[in-house]
Amino acid sequence: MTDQSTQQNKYLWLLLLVVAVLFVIALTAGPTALSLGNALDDMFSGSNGLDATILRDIRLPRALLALMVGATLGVCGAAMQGLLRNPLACPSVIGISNGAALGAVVALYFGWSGLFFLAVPFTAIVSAGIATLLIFLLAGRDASVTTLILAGVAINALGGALIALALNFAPNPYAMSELVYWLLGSLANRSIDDVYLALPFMLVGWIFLLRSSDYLNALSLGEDTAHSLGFSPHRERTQLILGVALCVGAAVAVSGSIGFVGLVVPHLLRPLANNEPGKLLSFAAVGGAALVLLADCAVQWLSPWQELKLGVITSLVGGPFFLYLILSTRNSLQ
Amino acid sequence: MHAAHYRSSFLQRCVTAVAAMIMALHSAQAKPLRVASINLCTDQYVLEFVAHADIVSLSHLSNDADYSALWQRAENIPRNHGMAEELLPLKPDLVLATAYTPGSAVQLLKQQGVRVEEIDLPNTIDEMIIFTEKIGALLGKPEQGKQLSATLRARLDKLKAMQHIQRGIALVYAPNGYTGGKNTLKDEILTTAGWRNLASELGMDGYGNLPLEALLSQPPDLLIVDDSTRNTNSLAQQLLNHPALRNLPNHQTIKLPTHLWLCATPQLIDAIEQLASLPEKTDKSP
Repeated sequence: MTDQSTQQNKYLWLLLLVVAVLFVIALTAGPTALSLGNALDDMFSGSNGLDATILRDIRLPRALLALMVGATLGVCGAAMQGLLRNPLACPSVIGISNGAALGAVVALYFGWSGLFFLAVPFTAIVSAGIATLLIFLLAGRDASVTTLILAGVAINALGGALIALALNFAPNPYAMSELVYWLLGSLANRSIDDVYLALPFMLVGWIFLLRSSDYLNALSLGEDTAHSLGFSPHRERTQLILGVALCVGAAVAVSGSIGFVGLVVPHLLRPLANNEPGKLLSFAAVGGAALVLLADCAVQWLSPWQELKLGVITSLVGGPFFLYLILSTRNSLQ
Repeated sequence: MHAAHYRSSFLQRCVTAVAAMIMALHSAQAKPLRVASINLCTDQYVLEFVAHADIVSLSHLSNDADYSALWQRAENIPRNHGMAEELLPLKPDLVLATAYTPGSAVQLLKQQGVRVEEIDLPNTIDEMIIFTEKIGALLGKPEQGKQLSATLRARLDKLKAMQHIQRGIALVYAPNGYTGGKNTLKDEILTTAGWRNLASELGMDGYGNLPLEALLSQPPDLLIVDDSTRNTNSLAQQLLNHPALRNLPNHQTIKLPTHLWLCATPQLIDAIEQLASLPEKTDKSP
């Protein structure tokens, strides 16, 4: 093992430690005072005490989802940035998150989960896939940064409008008021069922993405070079698109469209991964988990009784960051 | 002869005029008011007091079984969305509106010469009983209004006599955790039936959403949920099926139709009677 990769591994372990600490902190966040020690004791001794119920049924699923959704958004952002060779790519900016939310909304409010219990994540994955394909059609190969962003704006606008339309015509009286949840994202009131629902799809998606790390490294040297190194671009791209659709679709189905995580995390961690797009994938996964855990804690500290949507915090961080990126890379955007 | 003729025809004309006026007055009293309502809560009072044939139009929620207490009486009555152009062709004699209904419709209707009464809806049970009598008179049924008001007052007094029985802690939990704390109708209904309101005890003032954790940290003896079973495809309604609620210790759950207490109407006395007839909390060992 080279010095460089040892150093990189050290950083990765450090990040994992940070995530573990944040996870424990997340278990202590909530509107009621809970003694974590007592609650853990109760939970493991199998008692159904109130503290144990709160910990096991409310806080644990929420923290797990923050971890899973954060990792997904981070790794997908890194993968899209590597694949499109574009620093401004991330699932929310280029419209994949809204595309996934559209599928989830249609399946949920029109009762499809009555017919097929996996309908919501499944439809979200399909519509995430369609959004990703659209991005490729519009701005896939040799497209300038501007073209990609414009394509993302178009797909985001279309997705958002169709979500509002679907909710407007949904037969349920609460549908329209849940528009904000779908467009901003939230982890409130989730249960362990949501974890079970999303995890299998996310795992497969992560595997597909992590298998592409070598291709992404080669791709940074140019498409022809990658091809000459033996990678089949068609196969690799399909694997990446499937991977992104699977994990973003599943994540959005249980948490709504959370923005900017996939944009911020890869940029912050790129130096630690020595600018290798492939290596960046695992860093971005861990970093994304940390960011969303922290944002979810912030949401609960700032507003424990009146729910504040998670997307508000990530947008407050990501929006200015996005502006900074545009300004600092202005020359290379022409 | 000319003068006499004129005098008698003048007299004749006077008599005819007076007779016509008497007949007009009489028929105006006999002719019932044709009433329209553009608000769900005023719909209930219209359905209570006005004959089916004289109701011109009700709000579009009037025949919704979940939200309208007297929905069965609202069959075959034209519905409106509070727009002036829906009501003007129907030529109502009186339109009931409230401060919460679309303001511009009220202005437009008044401009067109339609009589619109902007009603101040009652907020407490006492106000509701007094209001019942007043609106009965407004709608042309003063005797009926007085009678209903007296009956409601008698039922309420009977309930208040039993109020001192401490039945336990209750909570109304609607989709999204929506509930009412201090100074709400829900709170008054619970306390009149002898139950303490968990939302008020946790400090909630007015209506709001109670986090699931707060419910679990002080579990109520009685959980009151909405009994609507139609279309539960929403995140708000899924909250009521959250796994955490399955482990609530030792409590009763009852389903009360939302329409009993969505508006301050006579039907809320039914809700209080139902709540007061429930068994008190069983003594739990610590």
